[in-house]
Amino acid sequence: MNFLNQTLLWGIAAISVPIIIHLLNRRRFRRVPWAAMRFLRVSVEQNQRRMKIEDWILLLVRCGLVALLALLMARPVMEGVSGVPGSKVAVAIVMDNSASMGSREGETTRLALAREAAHAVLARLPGGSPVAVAGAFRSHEATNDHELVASRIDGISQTDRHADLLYSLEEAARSLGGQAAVEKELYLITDGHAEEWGGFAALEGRLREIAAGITIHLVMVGSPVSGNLGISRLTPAATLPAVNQPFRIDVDVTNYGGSSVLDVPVSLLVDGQPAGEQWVIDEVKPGRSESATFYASLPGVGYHRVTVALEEDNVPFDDRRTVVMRARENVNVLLVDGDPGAEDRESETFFLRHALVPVPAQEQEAYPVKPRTVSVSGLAGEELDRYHAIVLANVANIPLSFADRLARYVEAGGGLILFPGGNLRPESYNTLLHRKHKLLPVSLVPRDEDSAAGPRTAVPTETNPLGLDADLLAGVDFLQGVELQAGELEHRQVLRYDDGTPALVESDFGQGKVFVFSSTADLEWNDFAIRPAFVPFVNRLLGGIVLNRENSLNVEAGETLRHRLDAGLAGREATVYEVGDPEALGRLTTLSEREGSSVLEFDHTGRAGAYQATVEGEPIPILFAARPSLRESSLALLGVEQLGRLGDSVTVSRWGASSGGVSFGRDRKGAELWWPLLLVVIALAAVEIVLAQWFSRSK
Amino acid sequence: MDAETRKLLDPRAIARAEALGMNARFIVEGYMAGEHKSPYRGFAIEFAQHREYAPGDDVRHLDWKVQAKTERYYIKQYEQETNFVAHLLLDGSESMKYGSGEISKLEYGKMMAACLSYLILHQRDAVALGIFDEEVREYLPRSDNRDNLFRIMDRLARFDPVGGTRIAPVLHGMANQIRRKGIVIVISDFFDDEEELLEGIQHLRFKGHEVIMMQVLDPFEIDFPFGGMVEFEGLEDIPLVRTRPSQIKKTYHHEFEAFRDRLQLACERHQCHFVGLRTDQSLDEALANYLSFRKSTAG
Repeated sequence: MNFLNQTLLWGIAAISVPIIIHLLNRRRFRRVPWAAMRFLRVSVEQNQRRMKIEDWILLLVRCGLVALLALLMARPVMEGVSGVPGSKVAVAIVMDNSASMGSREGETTRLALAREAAHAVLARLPGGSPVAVAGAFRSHEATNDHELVASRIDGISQTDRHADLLYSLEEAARSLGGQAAVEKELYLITDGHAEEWGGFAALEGRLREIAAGITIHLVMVGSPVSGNLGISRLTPAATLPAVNQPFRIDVDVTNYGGSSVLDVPVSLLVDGQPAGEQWVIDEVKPGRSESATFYASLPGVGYHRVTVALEEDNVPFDDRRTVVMRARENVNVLLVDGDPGAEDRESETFFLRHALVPVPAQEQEAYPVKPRTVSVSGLAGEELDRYHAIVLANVANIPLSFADRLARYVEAGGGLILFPGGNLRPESYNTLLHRKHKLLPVSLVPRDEDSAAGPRTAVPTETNPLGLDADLLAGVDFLQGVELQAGELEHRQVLRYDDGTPALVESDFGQGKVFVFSSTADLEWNDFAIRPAFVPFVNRLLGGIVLNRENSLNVEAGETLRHRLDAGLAGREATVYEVGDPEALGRLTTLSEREGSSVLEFDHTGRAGAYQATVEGEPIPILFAARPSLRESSLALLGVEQLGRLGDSVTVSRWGASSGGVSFGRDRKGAELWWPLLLVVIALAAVEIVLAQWFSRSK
Repeated sequence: MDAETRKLLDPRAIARAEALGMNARFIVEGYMAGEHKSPYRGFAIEFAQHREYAPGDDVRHLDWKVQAKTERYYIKQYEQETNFVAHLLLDGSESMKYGSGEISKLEYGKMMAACLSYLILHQRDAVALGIFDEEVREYLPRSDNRDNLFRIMDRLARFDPVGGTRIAPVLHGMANQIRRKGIVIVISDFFDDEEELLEGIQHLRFKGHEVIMMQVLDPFEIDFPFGGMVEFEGLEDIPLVRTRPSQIKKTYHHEFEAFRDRLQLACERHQCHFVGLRTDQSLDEALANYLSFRKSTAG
């Protein structure tokens, strides 16, 4: 015999309680003066023996009752016995609801089969057994209400996420660890998708450890799928999405199956409506990706869904992918020219203006980027908030009042691009913008003459956040520049010279972004401005600023969306819906306040696709999108060898449409004796009541 | 002023005695008012002797015939003839101190003795009072003077019990002492050796006395209504008894009733009256019942 709550065996010590009460009662009496003592003494003498025996019987019954109660609480278990009513089993059911579980199995899906298996497990459990149900990403507390468990099983929904089964197993084992039961069983119902068992050795080792105290059942659902085409990349090539401005969309389609697929149609949808002709890829070979290119434009100002879709196959989650883009009517840029020169061509901002608006004069009116050039003296009259970015080009000194305005502007979400030049006085920048406002992440140090002897080249860093082509930069000679000296402020290198020193750094400041270039925007210190790379370089700098706040709108399924909005929205409620799923319930979230702005946080992004968030009091909803996890597209399942290894420590069974007859829990052994003990306790309590009444009656 | 007088004049004793007397008078006269018969019937007043007149004597009692013959003033003195002498013997042992309610057995017994004294003296009969425990502690010789009533009350009121009970020697002693036949009324709980007690009664009966045994009991002694754990403390130096009364209630009742039955049976056998009294019973009712009973038996 064993006990599930051995600690409670100490409760047996409570048999001292009735003894103490008995002894105390013997001491607790009422004193009464009495005259008729002779009759009393005769009566007592006649009854003394009987009263003592009755006292002893009652005391023994009460002690026995307390001892049995303690035993009952300690939950004794008899090995090798079964069929005793009330023997509960603590169970954790982990249902894999990762993206691969959405794969079709005839008329149903792997997840639907997993639900069937979970219900079959539940049906075979003794009544009142505590059951904890968990999906791959979210677990429920254990409950012995099996109706609730059944509804939780049904409530585990399909996601388009990649699952970490080790995490789910740990959670389930922890849940079972807190349970006291004759047997503890953990059911992991999964399709055995190899990617989720990526760290197979670690998972196997952990399963072996858990199996030391818990019976683990690995229930495999589904059968291998032969082919899967999936969209592995969707990249809109637009640095500055604007209304009705065509942009390119690059799409990669990958064949995860074992045989070539011919004539693959790819469709583009903007805001759910087909846009342009289908693109047909002639052939996608096994394990290879093929590209498709679309051109689209955004029909109006605001947020838009750009979706690429394949024909649905047996693994549907990766057949469709959406990104959210925001179109602007105008992008206003303020160019502060520190060296206007005698002629337009001599202006410090001449090349910048042309790079920002790289279209013929007749098209400039319709072009969304609207640069405006001012001198330092003209800054006082400018309202900075109407500009998306401010470029300081070879500005000698930063006026004190402007430094304050500039810092506030960037903190509120604006962008700053700094190009140095011969006029620039580093001390002014370092004092006001670097040290005082911490707006510049680096300090500017004049480069000594010796080291400036030969021209240098610049290359993108490994992260290459602007996506610049290294080949385009290859021929650019940088003759001179200021040194960007790193301090304590956080920043990232975007370009670096061939001598390893930074050429371009970026940093976040409040909601805004800052780029600091080490060379000029004209031809004074380099020949960059007349190279083809200069136009995309400038546009991507601007795009980096403008898209800074929109980048967070596209997340991977399961990631938490954190999107910054105006500070005034903090504290308001937002309702988030899945776009295209009219039955999906909206979820409420409250915008939090962080670093001078409000943040929309949303972590129920399990399904891939677009979401719509309506902020209380705001007329235009915000769109964002979740992309499916690429790791789930692979078709590889656990092999026979791996399942064989797992079989050493866990019970492996297969549940499918054709093999649904697995009888779970058939080999359960051991019975909890609390039910018969409870009956004994009740009977003994009844005996105690009857005896107490019987003994205390008048005699 | 001697000690006895001082005792009599003790304001507290006076108050107690007056209270007792008032109660007794109230009870007895209440009873007599319902009787419609003179309590004085059958009693004669006989001439006793002459005494020379002294200033202050009632001139109504002057014997004018003697004055005419002797020219001296003589007062006629009379002697009341009594029908009987009642000897009241009150048990003043410590066991009589018990009382579950407002009144103890002793207080009830005192009231009963006072009432009887009042009644008897108003009938021009004589009363002697003895209060005893193991022996006679207080004794007032027989007297038919109603002025004696106050002394009886005072003795009753002042008595505080100190000892245990031994009734038999007292009865034997009384049987030996009393020469004139009379009525001996014993007021007690009779918690004593039964055989010795009956011998004492037998002795009194042998001497020709009419014996009335008034047993005063507390209702708790009869009903034994205790619950829980109780430690009974004997009132006469008897060791403590700790028990659960509910467990012995029936046995106690059985023993107690058997004792009373034996006592009653013995009284019947020795032709003496047994009167059972409960301290929760009103005294006038108890007295009325008893006197009615006496009248009926006297014919």
